[in-house]
Amino acid sequence: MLEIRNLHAKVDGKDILKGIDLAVNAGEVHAVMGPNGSGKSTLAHLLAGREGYEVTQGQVTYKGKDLLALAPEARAAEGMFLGFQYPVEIPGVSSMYLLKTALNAQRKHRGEPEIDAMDFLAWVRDRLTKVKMDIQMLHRGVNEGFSGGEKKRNEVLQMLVLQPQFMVLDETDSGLDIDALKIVSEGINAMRGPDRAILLVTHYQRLLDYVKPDRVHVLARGRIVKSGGPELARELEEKGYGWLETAA
Amino acid sequence: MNTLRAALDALPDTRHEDWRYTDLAPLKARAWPDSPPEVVDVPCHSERSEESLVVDLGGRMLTHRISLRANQQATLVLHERSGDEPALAMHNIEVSLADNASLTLYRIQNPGAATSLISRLDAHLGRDARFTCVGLYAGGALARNDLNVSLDAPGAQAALYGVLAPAPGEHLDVHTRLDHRAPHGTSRETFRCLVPAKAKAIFNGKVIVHKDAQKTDSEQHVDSLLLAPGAEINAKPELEIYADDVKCAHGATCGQLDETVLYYLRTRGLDLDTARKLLLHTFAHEILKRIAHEPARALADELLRSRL
Repeated sequence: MLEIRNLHAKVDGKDILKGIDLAVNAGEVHAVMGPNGSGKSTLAHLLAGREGYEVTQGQVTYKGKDLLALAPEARAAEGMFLGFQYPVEIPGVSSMYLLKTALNAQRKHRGEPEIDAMDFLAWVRDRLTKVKMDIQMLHRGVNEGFSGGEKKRNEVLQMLVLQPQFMVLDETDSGLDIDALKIVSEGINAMRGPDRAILLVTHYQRLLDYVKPDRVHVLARGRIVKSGGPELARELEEKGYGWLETAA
Repeated sequence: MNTLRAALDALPDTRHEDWRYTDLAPLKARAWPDSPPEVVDVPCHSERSEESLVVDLGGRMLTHRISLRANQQATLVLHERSGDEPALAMHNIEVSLADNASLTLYRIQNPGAATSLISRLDAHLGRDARFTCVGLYAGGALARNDLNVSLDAPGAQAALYGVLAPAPGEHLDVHTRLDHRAPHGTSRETFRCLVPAKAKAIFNGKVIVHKDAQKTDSEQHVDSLLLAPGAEINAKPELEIYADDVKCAHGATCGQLDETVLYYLRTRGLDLDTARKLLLHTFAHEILKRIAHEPARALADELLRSRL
């Protein structure tokens, strides 16, 4: 579904990614772990289409298309979703309005008709219960005055409403207490399916107790230095990242 | 009597501090058809009146007078516009509020792109009188607005809100002056400016707290977004305080749309143009949502959207 080959990228003239190879098939969940500054967030934003990154080598193929040639909104319409590590606040734009506008923009891009207002409301209500959010929160500005945990739940809600096919979740687990972590994990698990894939970018092993990955990759200094099964995450938790840094 | 031409000639040049950014010399150098002054008394007969006026400004020298008796309440919608042909217009609004009277004025100012407009509002507020003005100022070849409110008696309340949204290449000037002349007055002022390419906007907000105006409570904010290279905004809050027991705050910000927010919206599927318009509309709507008169708000919203 997603294939990254020998990806090199610079940010502000500095080499951040130095040759990433990664293939994620439909139906799989992969975790990318690594210390701070290893390039995890850069990789996540590159996939979503943030400006300001210079790809110097390599390519990314998504569903057979050259992903890097697509605008962020085109990637979204093709089913790419990024859960932000730091979701933005947009005072004055209600979450409900954003969800509806985003869903219809994606549908339009795919040549589908706009969703009926009542169907949309029912659709959102059903998903709200999954993340234990009150509908009143959706009438407020996007993330306006939300706690860190509420912002992350709102990211998961957006994912559940928009039904993407490929999800990159950038530290969606960080800053969550254990109850919120469970809610967020259930939301992520609800999106697992044979036609979808998930890339979990995380600093902690904790999330992987709730969302079982098929593969775990360790990113250090811009390269994937080790890949393995779920047991690799446990190993990292016990030994830290130090031993890999020296191995790299 | 002062005709349009004589009134134009009597206006100061750019050596006058308040007219520094408003150069009328090119206007004065042109031959304009002259017009006699016209005065219109806006009828406000009942205890609670509501009036909507569409005013064609082109080529006229027009004064609207609004006078409210004690305890009277009124809402007035002024849709100020003109045609497409080159024109000069002068418009005065004189507001007089007796004790405990209340006027809410909604202004949708949309002169034609070739109209130069000099517009001036003077309001005098009696004891406990309340004056609220919410406006959308959509530019013109050159549009100069002076909004002068004098809180003459104790307990008066003034609130000025506005959106400055000139079209590319236009010049829009808003100067406000709030004179707190008596104790316990309250004033609130919030303006937001959207300045596109080659347009120039000026916001000058002056608050003067005179020596007897103790317990004055005044706040002023102006926020501006520059939408393109070559856009210009001159925002100047001014505060003069001659009393010693007052609460006054003012602030000015100037910036561009937040790139991270635009990116966030795009990752959700909104294209760049839609995302930009959404954020710009939201920015201005924070002011225009204060228009409680439904048709006026719809009109303002339509005009705003045409500017985005």
